[in-house]
Amino acid sequence: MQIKIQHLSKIYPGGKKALDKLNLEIESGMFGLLGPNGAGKTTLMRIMTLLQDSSSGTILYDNYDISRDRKEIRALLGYLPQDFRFFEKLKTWEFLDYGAGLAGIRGKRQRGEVVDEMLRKVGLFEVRDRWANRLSGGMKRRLGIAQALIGQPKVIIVDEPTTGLDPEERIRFRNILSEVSDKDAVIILSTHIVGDISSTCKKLALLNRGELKFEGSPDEMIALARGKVWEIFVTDLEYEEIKEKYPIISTIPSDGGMEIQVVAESVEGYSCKAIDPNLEHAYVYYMDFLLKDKLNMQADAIRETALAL
Amino acid sequence: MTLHNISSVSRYEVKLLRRSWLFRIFAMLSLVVITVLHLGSQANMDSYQWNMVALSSSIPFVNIYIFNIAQSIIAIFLAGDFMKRDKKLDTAEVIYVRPMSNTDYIAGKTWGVIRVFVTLNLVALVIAAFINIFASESAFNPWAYFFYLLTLSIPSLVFVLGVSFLIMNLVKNQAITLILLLGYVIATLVYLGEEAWGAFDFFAVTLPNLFSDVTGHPDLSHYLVQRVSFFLVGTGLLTFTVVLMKRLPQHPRRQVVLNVLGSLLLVVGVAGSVLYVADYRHKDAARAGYVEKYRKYIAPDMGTLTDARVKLQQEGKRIVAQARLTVENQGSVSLQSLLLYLNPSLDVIRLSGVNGEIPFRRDGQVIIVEQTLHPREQVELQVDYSGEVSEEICYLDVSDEEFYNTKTGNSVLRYGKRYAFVGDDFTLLTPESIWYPVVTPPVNPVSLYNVRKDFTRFALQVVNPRQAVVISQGSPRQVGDTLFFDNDQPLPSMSLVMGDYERKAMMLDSLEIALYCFKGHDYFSEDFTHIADTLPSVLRWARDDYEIRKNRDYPFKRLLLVETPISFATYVRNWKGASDYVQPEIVLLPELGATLPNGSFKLAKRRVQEWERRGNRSIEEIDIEMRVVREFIQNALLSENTFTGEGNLFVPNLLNDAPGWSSKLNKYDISPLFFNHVTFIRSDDFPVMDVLMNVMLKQETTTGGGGGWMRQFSGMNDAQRAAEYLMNKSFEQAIMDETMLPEVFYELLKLKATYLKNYILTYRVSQDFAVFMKEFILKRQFSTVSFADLNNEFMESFNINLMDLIPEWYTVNRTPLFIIRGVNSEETTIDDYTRYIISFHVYNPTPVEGILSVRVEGGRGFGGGGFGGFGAFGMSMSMDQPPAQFLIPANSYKKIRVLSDNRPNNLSVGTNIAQNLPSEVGVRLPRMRQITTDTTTGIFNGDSTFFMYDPKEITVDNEDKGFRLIESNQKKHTLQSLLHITTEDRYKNMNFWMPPSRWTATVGNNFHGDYIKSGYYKRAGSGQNMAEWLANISLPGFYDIYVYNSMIEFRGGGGFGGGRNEDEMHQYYKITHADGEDEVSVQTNEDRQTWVPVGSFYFSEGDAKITLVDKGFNPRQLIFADAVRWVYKNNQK
Repeated sequence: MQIKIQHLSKIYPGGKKALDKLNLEIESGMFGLLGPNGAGKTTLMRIMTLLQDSSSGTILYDNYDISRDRKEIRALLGYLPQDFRFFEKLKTWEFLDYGAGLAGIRGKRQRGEVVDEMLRKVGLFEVRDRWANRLSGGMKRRLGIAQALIGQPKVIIVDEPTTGLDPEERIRFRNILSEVSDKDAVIILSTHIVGDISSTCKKLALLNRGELKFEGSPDEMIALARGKVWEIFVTDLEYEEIKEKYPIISTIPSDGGMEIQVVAESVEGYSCKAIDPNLEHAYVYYMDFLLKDKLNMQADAIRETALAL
Repeated sequence: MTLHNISSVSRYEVKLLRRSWLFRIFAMLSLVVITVLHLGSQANMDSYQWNMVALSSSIPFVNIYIFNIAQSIIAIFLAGDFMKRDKKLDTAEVIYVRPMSNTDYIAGKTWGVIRVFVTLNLVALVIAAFINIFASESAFNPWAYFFYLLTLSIPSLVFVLGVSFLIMNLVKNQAITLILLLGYVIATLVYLGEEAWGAFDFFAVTLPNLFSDVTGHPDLSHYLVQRVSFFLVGTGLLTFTVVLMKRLPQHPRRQVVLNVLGSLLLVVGVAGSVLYVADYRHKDAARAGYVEKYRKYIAPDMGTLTDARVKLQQEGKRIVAQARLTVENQGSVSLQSLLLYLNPSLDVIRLSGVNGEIPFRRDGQVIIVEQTLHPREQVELQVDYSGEVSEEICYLDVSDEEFYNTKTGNSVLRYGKRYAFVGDDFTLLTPESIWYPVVTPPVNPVSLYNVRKDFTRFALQVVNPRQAVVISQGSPRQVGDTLFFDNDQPLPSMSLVMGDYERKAMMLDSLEIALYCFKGHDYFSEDFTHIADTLPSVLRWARDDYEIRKNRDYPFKRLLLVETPISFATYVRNWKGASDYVQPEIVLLPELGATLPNGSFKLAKRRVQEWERRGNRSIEEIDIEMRVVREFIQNALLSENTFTGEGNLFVPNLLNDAPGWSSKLNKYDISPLFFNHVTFIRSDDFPVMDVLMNVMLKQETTTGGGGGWMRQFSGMNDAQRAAEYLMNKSFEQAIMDETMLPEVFYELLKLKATYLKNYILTYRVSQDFAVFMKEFILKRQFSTVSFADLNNEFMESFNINLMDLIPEWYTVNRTPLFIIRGVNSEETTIDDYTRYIISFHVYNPTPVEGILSVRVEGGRGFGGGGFGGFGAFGMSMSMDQPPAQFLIPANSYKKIRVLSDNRPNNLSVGTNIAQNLPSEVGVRLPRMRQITTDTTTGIFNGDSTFFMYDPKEITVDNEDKGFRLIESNQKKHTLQSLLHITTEDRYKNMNFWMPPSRWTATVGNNFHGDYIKSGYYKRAGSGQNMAEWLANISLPGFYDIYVYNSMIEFRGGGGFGGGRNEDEMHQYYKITHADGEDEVSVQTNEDRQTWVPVGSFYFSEGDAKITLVDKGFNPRQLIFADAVRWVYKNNQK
């Protein structure tokens, strides 16, 4: 399965440009979609899942075009939206059964088998008769992914799936996603939690302001930040000073001061050592130094907040 | 569109719906309400109504009727809920990404909703079926259950869902959507439903829908077109809902397809409705065309049909007939062409005379025969004709509104209106359909009363190869497959009924009484197993009694009671004097007696048993049956009125200001068999004379003033409305007034007829007027009599020229009023016997003369003491003595003295046509009497001093300027005012069960008044509402204050007004006098209908005030505001 996003643009009524001539190719396997809030990730995914139309450009699923072959494309899709809730009056198994039915699985018995198998895989078989909206947060997420996976979709799109989950549930969720999905399937994971991508995706794309800013593997992105991440031991006074100069990624208090990590082309005036970057470091480096967008984005965020108030 | 997807969506829609509490509560409520209503109105309990169960389709119809409304309301709520759910939750998105089409989704949701509602509907139907089979008298008809589910419930549901989904999608606000949709439902039920022949009524509650066992649905094609139209419009709207769905379609071009499909469905649905309306319009146009034809052709000079021999054969829905007619010119003018009238759908094949074919033209219902006819000349014609019988020609005089109004009282059951039937199962042809050629058409829409009756010697020959039972006037004889009906006397018309009947007959002396009921419809024999031997005597008694009461003998040799399909309809038409249910010799009864009073004999028997049981009396089965038969005959066939309860089971009294009963003219009243079908009194100057004379002669001489217990009760009745009408309009105007209710007009006829009779009686005629009239008519039975002949003979007998009275009587447009005072009763001795002289003074201050009908009554008390529930008043009247009539000239004072052989209790003075309210004044006579030797009786010049203003005695009545009401909450709206339902009556009926909380005007003999005995009443309140009487005192001094106690006793049980004598009741008055203010109370459960003294107070010159506050002694008390009186005592302070 190959997805080709070609010159995809989305302009909302009012003129806000959510996607701007986006071109991207996604192969089978896990694909991470990274970007700050408002980058256009959700818009992209809603267009990909045919929940909304694009303004121009198209997406090809193999040879299926979203502007033409919606039925075929929908038959390929599994989707877990970010803010996912349940019908109040459906039980856990019923929710999956509904999805299974709509995914084209015919026959009550066959559907029952598929549903039970899926429930076992996501660890919800024991609570199959519980009302879906009475499940815990983690269980709900698992049920969400289960309904996305039922019917063996070729393209699975999950939007911010681990937000609000504790680490154990997050790891469990990631494992389910990798284990249960079809090996040839495309799994698109949209998140701003970099850890989710680093631990699962072979490729990722970074979106900002509706544009594709980076496409490659997590290692390629990390490589860009190599030699740009520093570890410095600072006193409290120096900390205030350094905070003004460099983006601080982590701060660990210790005797007589703090051990901090910063992203910078070079650090002068402080005793520091370069460390191996991870994807989170790379993301910050990318956003702050290559795109030089952080301040602007903060300003945008402030403006939006003010407007909302 | 894939069925799998639709099924998947619907499966979960069903689950979600069934688990919704909103749905569960609504569903449970609906089932409970339906069950209760079935049990209350249709199960074998004490209160069921026969019309609600008589037909086998009644129970399933009522079930679906209620369910249909309930489900629409539930569906509106749920549809809004579903769409909201789809909008709000991301849950919908995981559904939306699935490979189903938008059509699949909406179709699945809709199908899910329909499945749930149909299941609920089936549950409701099972409840109905259970009650139907095990607990009701109604026959079980499974087909009706299926039919109503399919044609009533489902189209309504689809339509409601379509409208709801679409509006929700367009408006995008659940609250506004709900308001819009519920408003639409209410508008449909209250107003829209009746518009455009029910084209807007998606519930189809206004469409005729009850099945006859014999002829089936009354109007299936219209009904199905209407239902399919709503179904298609609903489906079209659902299609647009798919288009408006916020989800990308599977195929972009599918939107176009859906738009086209939705538009197509909508267009076809609307086209169906347009066709539906157009068909009615077409009928209207046809009717208007027929009226126009009458207008064009009807002429004062026409022939008379003296003989008609009709041979008829039925072929499916057609008839093939030959009529041999003898037409005579009985006028004095030569007729250049002869006009015949025939149903416009019947084609004249050939028209010939003794010399061969005669040229003719056809114009609608009119056949213009090129044949000159000189005075006294006769012509014989043969008309060969065939075709179907059009029903549009019937009842052209009836307004379109009434013609299409299919309501039967306030019942939810609509039987439809058919006026003629020709079919293999059943045939019914009455003169209204002009099924044989006539010279005088059955109606003259141009001048209603100007319709002649031709008394024709009829003979009918019916070729009857399928051996149906054939019923018509005359003695039948069968030769081969042909039935002949020959008549001994001329008749005004002929009818034909053919059907699958069972006949039950008996001879009552020389009278043949036969009952024809459809096979399988003998639901009554099992209820009368004990009176087989005594039935003839019961019937004989009923006949004899009726003949005596009507002063007329039954003129025919047979009386045939024939069951007809429930949809066979007719109208009360005052110009005709008889409904078409009553044909010469034949009374056409409704199927299974569904709409007859006392139609259920089981129930009637049970009520008799219960009545006797409550009175601790034992009664034999045979007596019960006899009583039930007697009551049935009396109520169904011998009463001119039938009383129907206002409101219906579903909207009990919600929109009516009184809970009581309303009186309608009884369409099955057989009195026309004694009068209207027997003679025709022709008057070219006063065409109404025939109907009027019949009304006059029908009035039973033993009842005073043509009353009945309803009349005297209170408030406005039809007679009083008629009298009010005549206050400024003439009889001549009334005849032309199409807006008058038939019941009011009938009362007006009675008033005018009684007035004329009483006027004649004021001449103290020597010969008995009734005897004269009976003999006059008897000599001329079955013929047309000229009014001039009647007048001549009358002059010979009575020396009175009716034409001296009638022109004034016909055109007078004012009415007198009578103030009666100084009623006295004295004892005297005549021929050693104690007799009683009752006298009173009367003043007629108007420039119009009037008549008083005076009667002295013995027995039980009048008014106050005697309101022992319904009927007590009526029974207290002495029925054996006709009232004495007195002419009171204009602007005159008279004294009237009458003699009574018996000890009198009450004086009853009927004011005939006058402004007096009530029209019958009742005065209780004092028990203590003076002795007098003056035994003169009659009418004398009176003393005007009785009526002079006396400054020492000031009375302020509620009708006077000095009276006013003070209401605490004048802005309070009643349901009536909110719905803008106005009642024209100034005075309302007394309502004891649910008395008004606001001051309400009413009239009754319990009130004080010069000529309008009225007052206000309300339930006891908190004292915030008041009534105030103001008097201008010109003579300062001490005055005795009296208040008039209008309280009446009502023993209805459970009602207001105290109920029992021992219930203490007080009214509280504030007397504002020179020294301040005092509160006094009057115990109103004592000293009723009299002036009650409340004390003496000093009043200075100027305004004096008495105020009644609406607080009572007990909360179930009524407060009456009527009149107060100041009586000067002295001037010492």
